[in-house]
Amino acid sequence: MGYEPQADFGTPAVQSDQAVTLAIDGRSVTVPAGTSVMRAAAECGGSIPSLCATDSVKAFGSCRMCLVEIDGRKGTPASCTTPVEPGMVVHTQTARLQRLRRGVMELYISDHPLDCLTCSANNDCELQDTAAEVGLRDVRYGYAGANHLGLPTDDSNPYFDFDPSKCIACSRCVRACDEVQGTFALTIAGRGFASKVSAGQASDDFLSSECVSCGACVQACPTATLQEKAVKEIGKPERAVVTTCAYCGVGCTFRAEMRGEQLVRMVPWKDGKANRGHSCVKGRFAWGYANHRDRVLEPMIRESIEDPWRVVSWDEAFAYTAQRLNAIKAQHGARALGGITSSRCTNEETFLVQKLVRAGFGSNNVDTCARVCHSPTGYGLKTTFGTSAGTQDFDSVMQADVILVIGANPTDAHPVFASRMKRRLRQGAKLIVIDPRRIDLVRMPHVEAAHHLPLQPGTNVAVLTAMAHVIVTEELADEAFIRERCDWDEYQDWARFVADERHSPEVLEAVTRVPAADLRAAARLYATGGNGAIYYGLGVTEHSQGSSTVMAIANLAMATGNIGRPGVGVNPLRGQNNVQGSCDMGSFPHELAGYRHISDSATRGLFEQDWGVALDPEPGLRIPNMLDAALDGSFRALYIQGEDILQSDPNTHHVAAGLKAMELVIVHDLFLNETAGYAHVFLPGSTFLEKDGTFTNAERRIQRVRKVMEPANGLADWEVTQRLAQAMGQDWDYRHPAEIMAEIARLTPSFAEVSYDHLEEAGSLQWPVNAAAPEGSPVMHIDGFVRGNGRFVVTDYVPTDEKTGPRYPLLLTTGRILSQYNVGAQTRRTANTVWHEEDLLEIHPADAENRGIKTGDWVRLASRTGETTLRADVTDRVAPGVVYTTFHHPATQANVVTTDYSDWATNCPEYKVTAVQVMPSNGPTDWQESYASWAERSRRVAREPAE
Amino acid sequence: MTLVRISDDALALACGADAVAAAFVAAGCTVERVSSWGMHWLEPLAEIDGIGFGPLFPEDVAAVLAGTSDKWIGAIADHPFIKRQQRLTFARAGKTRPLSLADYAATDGWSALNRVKSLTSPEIVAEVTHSGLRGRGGAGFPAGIKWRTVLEAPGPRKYVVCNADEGDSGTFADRMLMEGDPFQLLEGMAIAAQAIGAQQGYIYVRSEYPHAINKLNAAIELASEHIAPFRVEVRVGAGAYVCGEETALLNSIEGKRGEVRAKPPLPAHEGLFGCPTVVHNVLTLAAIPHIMVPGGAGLYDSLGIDRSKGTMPIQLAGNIRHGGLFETAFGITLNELIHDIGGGTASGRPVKAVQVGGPLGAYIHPSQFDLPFDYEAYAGADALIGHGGVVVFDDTADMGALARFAFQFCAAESCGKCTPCRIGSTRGVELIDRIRTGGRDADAVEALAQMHNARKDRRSRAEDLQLLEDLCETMQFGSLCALGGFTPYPVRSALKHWPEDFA
Amino acid sequence: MPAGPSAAAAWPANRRSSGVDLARLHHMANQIARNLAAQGEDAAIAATAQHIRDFWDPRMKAAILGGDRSPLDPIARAALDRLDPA
Repeated sequence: MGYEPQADFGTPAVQSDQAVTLAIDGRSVTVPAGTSVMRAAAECGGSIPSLCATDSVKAFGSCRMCLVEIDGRKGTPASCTTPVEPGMVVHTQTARLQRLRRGVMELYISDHPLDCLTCSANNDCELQDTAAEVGLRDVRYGYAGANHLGLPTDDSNPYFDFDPSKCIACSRCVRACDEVQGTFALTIAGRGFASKVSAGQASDDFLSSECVSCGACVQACPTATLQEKAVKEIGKPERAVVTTCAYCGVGCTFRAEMRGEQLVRMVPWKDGKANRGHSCVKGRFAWGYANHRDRVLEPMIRESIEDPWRVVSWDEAFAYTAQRLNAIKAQHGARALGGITSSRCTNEETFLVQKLVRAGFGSNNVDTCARVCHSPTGYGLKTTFGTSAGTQDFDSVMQADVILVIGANPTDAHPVFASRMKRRLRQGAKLIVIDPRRIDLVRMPHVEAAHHLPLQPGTNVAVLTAMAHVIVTEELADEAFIRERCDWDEYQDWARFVADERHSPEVLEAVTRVPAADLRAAARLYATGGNGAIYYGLGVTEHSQGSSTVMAIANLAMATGNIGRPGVGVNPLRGQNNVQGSCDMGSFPHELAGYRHISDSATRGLFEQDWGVALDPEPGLRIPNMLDAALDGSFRALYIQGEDILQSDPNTHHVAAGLKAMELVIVHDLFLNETAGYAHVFLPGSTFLEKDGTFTNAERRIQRVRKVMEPANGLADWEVTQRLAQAMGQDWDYRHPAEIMAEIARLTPSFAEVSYDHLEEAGSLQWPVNAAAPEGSPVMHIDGFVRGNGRFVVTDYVPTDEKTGPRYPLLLTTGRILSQYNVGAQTRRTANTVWHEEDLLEIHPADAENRGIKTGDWVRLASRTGETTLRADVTDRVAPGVVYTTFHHPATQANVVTTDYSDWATNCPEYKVTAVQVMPSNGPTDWQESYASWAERSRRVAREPAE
Repeated sequence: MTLVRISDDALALACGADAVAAAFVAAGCTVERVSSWGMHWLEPLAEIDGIGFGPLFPEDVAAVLAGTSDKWIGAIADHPFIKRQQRLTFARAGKTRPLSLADYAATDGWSALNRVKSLTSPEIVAEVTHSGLRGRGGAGFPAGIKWRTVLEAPGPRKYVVCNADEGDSGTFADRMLMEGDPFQLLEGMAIAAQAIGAQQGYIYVRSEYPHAINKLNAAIELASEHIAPFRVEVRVGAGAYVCGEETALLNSIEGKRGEVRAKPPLPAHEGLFGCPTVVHNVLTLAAIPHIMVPGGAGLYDSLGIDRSKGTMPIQLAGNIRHGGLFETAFGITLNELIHDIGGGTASGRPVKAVQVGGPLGAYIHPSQFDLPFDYEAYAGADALIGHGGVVVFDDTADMGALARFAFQFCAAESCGKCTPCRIGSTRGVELIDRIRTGGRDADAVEALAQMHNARKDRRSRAEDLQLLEDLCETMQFGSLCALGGFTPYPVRSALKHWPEDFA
Repeated sequence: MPAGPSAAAAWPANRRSSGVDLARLHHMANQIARNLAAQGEDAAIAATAQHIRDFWDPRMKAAILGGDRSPLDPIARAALDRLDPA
């Protein structure tokens, strides 16, 4: 299949109950009322030339190419801005229209470069196409008139160029930045002939402006004005393969546009149900890590972590690893071995890792990164609703009336979804933000939160209980819903609990620091403002009461009847591209795939029969407990796929000690990450471009990952796990990931009707996909909760053990930023380093002044656990008493400072609350320096001397 | 104590009215600053007991008071310029002090607003519709239909917006009205607000009218109780002719680029801040009070011809002997206006052309001077009434240069959104230059061998004239708004009637 | 279902439970109990016991059940008694 650009209907699709029939060039066409004539023509196979219209943004009416003639109307209206009317008779091709279109084209070309043949948009340019369509042969104005051809190119952005000499002032980029992304970074400066696209002030270029490099403008641009640098370097793509992004839990689908085996660009897929044709800087542009020089392509082993690595063949690596694993198992027992699955690898790959641990190693010591992010979601929503996942799809936000964002920063961490949320907010939905920090969403172009509750870190449950108090005592609960869908007596117990005076906003204000009046107003808004939807993230889960907070959220949603239809729900913003999938596949030590407890003999029997092996009925170790067990000598071997626990898990010293205590650490990854410093076996991994499989996003949407190039390391990750299993004596024989999915479907009721054929046909499927819901389940708990009745769990506020005091008077909370992703393993190896080169400590001006700290100064950040040094950023985004940093750069060692405290139910680390002190510093700590040099030493690879 | 009335209208001030007023005061008189009578060749005009003296210098004051001045005009109300008019909108011109609530009330001020308070919205709309009032900004759209659309549009918020951008050359009626009778404008807006259910109104005044801005702000404060609960604010433009186009004006009020919006949706449905909005020119709103007095609608309807009902405040300007404000019923001819009333050119030379309707109006040849002032009659002659500005040119005018100017004006004021106007206006200037030099050779780029398809031979003047016609067609049918859309009017009319000026 | 003996049996006989950080396990158990306390004492004891049964690996269960229970809060201690009477 050759390169086909994606279809463009000119103006956005319109929903309407009414249908309108009209005639276009003699053909009858029926479309929803409100559709433009242009789109109606496109939908019936005709096409009207246009340049300023594209169906991702509203009609603009500026190019004047799309003029048509309509019987009974004078003049030549633009078809993009003319809505259809019943019985309308439209003519798109007349002599006059032809003259007018050519006339407009002539004007365009009189002010445009003429060297198409050497232009990067050659054969991929709508201006070229339209000139061809109208049959332009002569530009009678000549080329000596006024023009814009001398304007310099802005190549400041690392991924795309802006060449104003080719700009046709269609404003598609400006409108895309406004309507699709919602950043409003672009405008047209000047007027008339001098109109030109500007990224901000006259002194701004794209890099210095507010542009977030999402690429919407590049995608919208019809010419080469905004163009990916890669296209300039490589040339026009020749084919496109749809695949899914490997960054965050939004799960954007892209067309990987290829030239041969070379990826030219990733273009958002307009039919992607999660992203609907939009992207962010990471998925769109930051895929260069796949070819970074840091990428290790060959297996390596070493006896001791003090030795340099020794490159070996795959066969030797598998043989060595299997032999060591078997030896440890024989000596210390099956429970001395374990594995960590990746939340970045595919469902199929994750399934194989947990199968290797359970069937091959013989224990349930398998865990996943969800441990440190959304494990409380799994626990909390399973307990209250019966399903360890969010209840809606992303489209649902467009029907929300009140959006409550708690402990999440979507414009940074889930930007494509945030853009849709902002679109709904611009339409008039109200916003409540509960966050200690004034995140961007609180007030940004055309978005303003009705309420921002800047609570003390660690007091989520208190705030939510206070809100529940308001809802119950002011009689705002949805009694009909509760009676029908929940246990009324249980509700009453819960209601009695929250109604107690000690849970009032006024009393709890002392603890939460949220003014009672604001909290009351916010609670009322959520309860009475229409469809109320809650979106939450790691600011909810990464606390000692993470699970309780999730259940408190569920309580609020049930109490107000905000479950079971579009526009409402409880929506965890899952972090990683496949963390949902990883949990679904049974990566937790206590659960098999589909969230069924290992102790349930019926489920266990199903697996035992299919796998032909007896399974350990006891829950296994979670990651923090694996480290504890390593220290006491009972846990000795760990297979880690695609996870860097040394950088991402809390209390770095403890992690390092645990890893060091193990006999065999196998790291299966793209790069020699921080954890690899303590590894004995390194198995090179493959990127999402190099394998087939599926990812499941935060909407429970299973989407295909499609291979577009052969793995540079030689094997897809699932093949690596299989070969290791085979080397250990397992008789696995999967020839394609589709076979693995078939096994998953066989063994997991909520995946029963999932197959690669089905995914091919449907595009994507949201589980449960079974006989009851053969095409998947966009919205859950529609008629009833999965567990039957929704369960109200009483959640009392239990303050964290992590307390501030005179030595550590400030509270540190952590988060993420748009351009870098988590530990930065991928993004630090792309041009995204031009943004956010280092982690900074945000500190309030009052606290900074007390300590004599200015922006840019080195500061020492110390807690009971450890200390590190980084630069300060003085800002009032944080409240006095709270400091904030990101954890993208290993040099920062932010997790040296975080504690061992964790969620009571899941041990999800309490990253969000650490008591710290901040003071000026001269430079890096001893630990940072010694770590840096140790890390460098541990990455040495022994090379055979040349013969 | 002699009472002397002298205008404080900006034009009178520019002619030295303050000095004259000071001289009268120094001579012991009481001076009242009133609105201007709109007889520009007579300003500064002083009125004592109905007798006019002008144009005055301070040194004329003594003679005036002594009764020996040769600047004596006689009874102003009997002056032919005034007597031939039918002043409804400008009934108070020259007679009242602009910011005197007492003067306003004494001349029937507020009586229309008080009357409509006991009418329903549909009743008000019906009367306005019956009057036949059409928008006086230039589009000539029936006001009643616009009001009904907004009244019936759903939504909790609605607005009344007054377009006081008055960018057309040779026009000043809006300015005169705002400076001379601001309460009437406010009364008209308040009646409109009552009819459509608006709570808030804006008057968008061009930045180049500082006196009008100040007068309006003062008038709003004085009149606030009369028009309450309706509230009005003045918003000031920033030097863009295109912001006289209603959707660009709305964008400007919203703090955005003064860029034209595509229609549909109409401002009546989605206007200011996305809410249903009535946008009207100053004169349209100022006509409302005398339409809404008892019998007013019927009177209005009885004036004028065909579908052009009521009176039009025509602004006589340019190279004309008697320039000023001439309000009369539709139907008057240009011959009457220019020769009988205007007195021919100020220079005394023959009239060569008259441009009606602003810089984008057609140039009218003397052979067409029997055209009756009527929306449809002018449209039928490829001309337009616009805002009623009439600019006279004598035979020293170079129509080729004026056609070039039309394109230049369009280029300077273009918002830049649509291609025909953004690029076409610039190309138009270049094209006229080439036509006047007789065509062009291939330029350096066309001459290159690599430009294989480009014509290498010379383009004749005739071919360039054809291109000009094509450009006019492209701009007329392709432009997003009237700025690009009407530029062909002056160009084509100049070319058609004075081809010799293009040689 | 008492988890103590059968869990201990899976371990090699020479494993010392004193190698395990008992204080940490006590901290975890107390934290669980404290968070379930609001459900009422009986419910909290049952839920704490269920939680440990469902989520703790055999080594951890063996260690806490085999160790000194006196530092534990009342609900946690009662939960352990349900799992394996001391």
